[in-house]
Amino acid sequence: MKQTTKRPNRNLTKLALDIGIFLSFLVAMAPRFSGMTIHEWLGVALGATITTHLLLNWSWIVQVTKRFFGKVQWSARLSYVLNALLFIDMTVIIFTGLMISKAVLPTFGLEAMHGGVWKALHSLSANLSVFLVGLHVALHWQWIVNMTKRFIIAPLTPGQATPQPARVARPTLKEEGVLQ
Amino acid sequence: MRTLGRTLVIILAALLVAGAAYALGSAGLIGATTGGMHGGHGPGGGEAFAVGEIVKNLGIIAAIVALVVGGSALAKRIRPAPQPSL
Repeated sequence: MKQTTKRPNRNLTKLALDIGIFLSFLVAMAPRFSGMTIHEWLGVALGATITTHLLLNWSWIVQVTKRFFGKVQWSARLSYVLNALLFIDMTVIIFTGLMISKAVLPTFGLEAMHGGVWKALHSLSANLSVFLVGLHVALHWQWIVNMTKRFIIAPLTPGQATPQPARVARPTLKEEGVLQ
Repeated sequence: MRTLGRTLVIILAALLVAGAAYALGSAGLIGATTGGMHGGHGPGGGEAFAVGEIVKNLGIIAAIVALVVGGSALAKRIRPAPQPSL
C-alpha cells in the first residue's frame, strides 16, 4: 500500500513566515516596547528567519541572478536590487547589534565593543530598513493580497471552500516575474 | 544537503557584508549620525511612547505601500496596456 505524505503548501508556509518576520521586525524596531533583552534575541531570531525566507525563495534568486543582464522583467530586476540592499542592510543591523550587545554576547561569555560608531551605524541601518521593508512589501503587494484572500479570508468566509489542490504546480518563470 | 549548501552561501554573503561593515567602522569612515525611526537603546519614554514607535514605523511602511501600489495603479490607468494586434 502506497503511503501518501501530505506536503505543506509552499505558499502558505511563505505567507506564515513572512507575517512572522514582519511582526517581529515591527517589535524589534521598538526596543523600548520589548525591552533590550528581547530586542537583541529577536534580532538574532530574525537573522535565522530571514535565512529561511531566502531559502524558500531560492529558485527566484538563482533565476534572476542568471538572467540579470539578459531577458528579465524590469520589475524583477528592481526587486532584485532592492532585495540585495535589504539583505545588506539587515546583515549590518544584526552585525552592529551584536557589536553593541548587552544580552546576547555576554550569554556566550563574549564582551561587546560598545563603540559609538557601531551604535550610530546600527541606528542608521535600522532607519533605512523601514523604507526598504516598505518598498519590499509594496513590490510584493499583489502576492500578499492574493495569498491573504486564499489562505485567511476565504476559509473565514462561509460557503467558500478553500482551494486545496492535490499538488500545486510550480509557477513558471513568467509567472514568477522573471522572464518577459 | 542542498539546503545546507544554500544556507552556507547565505551565511558567507552575510559574513562578507559584516566584514565590510567592520572594516568601514574600524577605519572610522562612518560618521556618528543617530536618531530617527529606530527606537534607540537608552531608557526613557512610557509604554504609550513605546507602542507609538511601532505605530509610527507601521505608518511609514503603509504610506510607502500606498504610494507605490497606488502610483503604479494610477500609471496603468493613464497608460493602458497596448491591445494585441489582430
